[in-house]
Amino acid sequence: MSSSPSFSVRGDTSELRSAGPVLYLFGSGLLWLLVGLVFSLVAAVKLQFPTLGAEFAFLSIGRVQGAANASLIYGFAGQAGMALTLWLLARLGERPLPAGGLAIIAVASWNVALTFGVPGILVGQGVAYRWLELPKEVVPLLFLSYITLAVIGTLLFFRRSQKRFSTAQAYLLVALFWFPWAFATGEVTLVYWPVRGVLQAIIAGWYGQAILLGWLTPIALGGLYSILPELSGRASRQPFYEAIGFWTWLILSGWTAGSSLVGGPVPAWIPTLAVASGVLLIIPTVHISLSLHTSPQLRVLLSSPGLFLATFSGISFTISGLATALTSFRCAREVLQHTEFFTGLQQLTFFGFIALALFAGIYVAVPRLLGRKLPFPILSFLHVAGSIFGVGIVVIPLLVGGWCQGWELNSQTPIVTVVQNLKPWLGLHAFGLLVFLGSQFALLANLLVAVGYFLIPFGKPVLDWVLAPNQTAAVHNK
Amino acid sequence: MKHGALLFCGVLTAFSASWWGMVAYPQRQLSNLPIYLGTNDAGMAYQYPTARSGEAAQGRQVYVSLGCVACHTQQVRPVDGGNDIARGWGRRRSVARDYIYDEPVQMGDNRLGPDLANYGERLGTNAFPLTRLFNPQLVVSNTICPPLPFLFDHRSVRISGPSAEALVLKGTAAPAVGEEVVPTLAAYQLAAYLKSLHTSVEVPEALLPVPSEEASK
Repeated sequence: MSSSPSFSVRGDTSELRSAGPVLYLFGSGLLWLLVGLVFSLVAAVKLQFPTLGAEFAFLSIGRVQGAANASLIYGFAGQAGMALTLWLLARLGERPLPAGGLAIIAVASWNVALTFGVPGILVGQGVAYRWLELPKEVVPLLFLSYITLAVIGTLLFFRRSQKRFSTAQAYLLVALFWFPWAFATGEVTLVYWPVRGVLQAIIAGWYGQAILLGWLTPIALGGLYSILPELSGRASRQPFYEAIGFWTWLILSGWTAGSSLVGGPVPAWIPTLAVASGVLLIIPTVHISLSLHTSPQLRVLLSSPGLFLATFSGISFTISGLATALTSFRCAREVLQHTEFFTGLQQLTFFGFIALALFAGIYVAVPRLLGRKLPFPILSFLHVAGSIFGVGIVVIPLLVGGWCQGWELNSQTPIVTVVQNLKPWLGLHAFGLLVFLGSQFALLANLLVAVGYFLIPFGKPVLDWVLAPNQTAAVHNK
Repeated sequence: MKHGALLFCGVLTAFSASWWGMVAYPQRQLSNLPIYLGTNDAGMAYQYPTARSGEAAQGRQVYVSLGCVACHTQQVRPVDGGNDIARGWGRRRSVARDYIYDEPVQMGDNRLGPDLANYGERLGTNAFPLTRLFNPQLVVSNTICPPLPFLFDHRSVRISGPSAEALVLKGTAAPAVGEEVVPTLAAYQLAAYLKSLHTSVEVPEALLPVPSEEASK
C-alpha cells in the first residue's frame, strides 16, 4: 500500500471503474440505516409509553426490534461494509472491479430480499433468534447475492498488482469468507433443520459473536488500517503488533460466544471457555489498538471528517474490547447478565466502532469516486458531531442503567420498581437514537447533492449556481 | 504480508476451531440428551420433560411470534450465580433437559420483565388472568408490559345476551354499555402456554431443595 499521504480528490482509474456498485452499496446501506434507526426508535419509545400503538400487532416491541436488527445488520452494515471492502480491495490491489454489471444485479437482489424480509418480520414471519430474524423465504436470495459479491471481491484480491498485501487486505478477505460460513451455519442449524433444545441457544450465541466480531469487526478494522495512516499522514510502523493482533483476534473472538450463557442451562465448559477467551481478548485489543492509533496533529484531525470519525471509531474499539475483557469475569457476569449493560456494550461495538468506521469510509471513498468534494462542509460537521454525540447518548445510559438494573435484580427490589428505575436511562437512550438518526439526514443530504450533480439533468449548472458563494469563498480563502 | 496460501490455511484453522468447538462438539454432546425416567417419593414413575398439550404448543407459537422474549427470559440461574431462586423464579436451576421439546428455544437474555420459566407454577391452581394480556396496567400498576388488545374481540353484546367469556373490566377500562371484550382463540392459547410453564421436577443434574432447607431460607 502506498506510504505517502495522498489528498487528491479524484480516485485512481481502478477505483473509478468500480464506482457504480460501490456507490450503490453505500447509498442503499445508508437508507437501511435510516430504516433500522426508525425501528429502533419506535421500540425505544414504546418502552416509555407501552400503550402507544398497542392495538397494532406489527408494532409489538419484539417484532420492531427484530426489524431494526435485520435492517441495521444486513441492510446497513452488510452493504456499507461490502462497499468498503470492494472499494479498498480495488484501490489497494490497483485493479478495477470485475463483472460490475453482475455486482449491480447482486446488490439489487440483496435489497429485494430485505424489502420483502423486513416487513415479513413485522407481520410475524420472522425467526426468534437475534440477527437471524429474516424470514427463511428470503434467505436464499440474500445468501446468493452475498456469495456473488464475495466471489467478485476475492477475484479482485487475487488479481492485485503486487504480490505483497497489507493487513487491511487480510482483514477484508477474512470477512468475505467468514460471513457465508457463519450465516449458512446459523440458518441451517437454527431455521431450516433446527437442532434440539439448548443447542439452539448455544449456536445462536456463537452466531451473534461470529457476525459482530468475526465479520463486521474485520471489515471495520480493514477500513481503519487503510484510512487512518493515509489521512493522518503517519504510517503505522508496528507490523509485529499488527500481526499479533490479527492472529489472536481470529483465534480468540469465536470462542467468546458462550459468555451470554454464564449461569445458563448449558454444559459448564462452554461458559468457562468463554470467560477465559473473553479475558484473553485483551491481547488482540491492546495490540490492534497500539498499531492503529496514530496520534495525528490536531489541525489535520479537525480538518478531515473522515479522520475524525476513524479516530473515534478506533477509540470505541479499544473501549469495547477492554470492557468485554473486564466484564467476562464471573463476578461481573453474576450482576450484569440479562441486563441492558450488554445491549449497551453491543451497541458501542456496532454504532461506536463499526458504524463510525463505515462513515469514515464514506467520507474518504465517495469524494474520490465522484471526483469532487462533498458540497456542504457544514453538513459534514453536523453529521460527524451528531453521530459521535449520538453514540455517546445511545450507549452510556444503557451501560449505567444496566449496571444499576443488575444490582437491583440481585436484591429483593420488586421487578416493577427495577424497571421503573431503569426507565429514565432507557428514555435517554431513545433521545440518543434520535440524535444519531437526525444527524444521518445531514450525511444523506450531502451525498444526494453530490450525486445529483451527476445524475439530474441540468443538475450541474443549477448546483454550481446554488453552491457558487460557497466555492467562491473557498477559493478566496486559499 | 506475503504467503497468501499460508494465510488462508491459518485463517481457516483459526476460525474453524471455534466452529468445531461451539457448533459441532456441543451437538455431539447434547443432541441425544434423553428424557428422564424417575420415581417420586410416593413410588410413582414419572418422565420429564413431557411434550406440551396442543393448545399450549399453539400458544407457544403466539409467544414466539409476538417476540415476548425481548423482555422475558426463561432460565433460572443457580444459587451461586444470581438471585433468581431467592426471587422465587424457580426452585432449582434450569438445565439443558428442560428445553428438549422447545423449538425455537426462548431462553432470552434481557430482563425487563420477570423470568417466566416457572410462571405456571407461580399461578398455582388459579386460572391465568386474561385481563393481564388485554391490559397489564390494570393488574400491575406501573408495568411497562405492552397490552395485547389485538388478541381480544371488542364487539357489541349479542342478542342472546352477554358472553360468559367476556372480560370483567371495571372503572375507566370498562367497555361502553352494550359492548364487551371477548378473548380470541389466540389469547386462550397464549394463556394455556403461560400456564404450562413449570420446571420444578427433580432431575439428577439439578435436585430440588429439601423442604426444610427451603423453609430455613
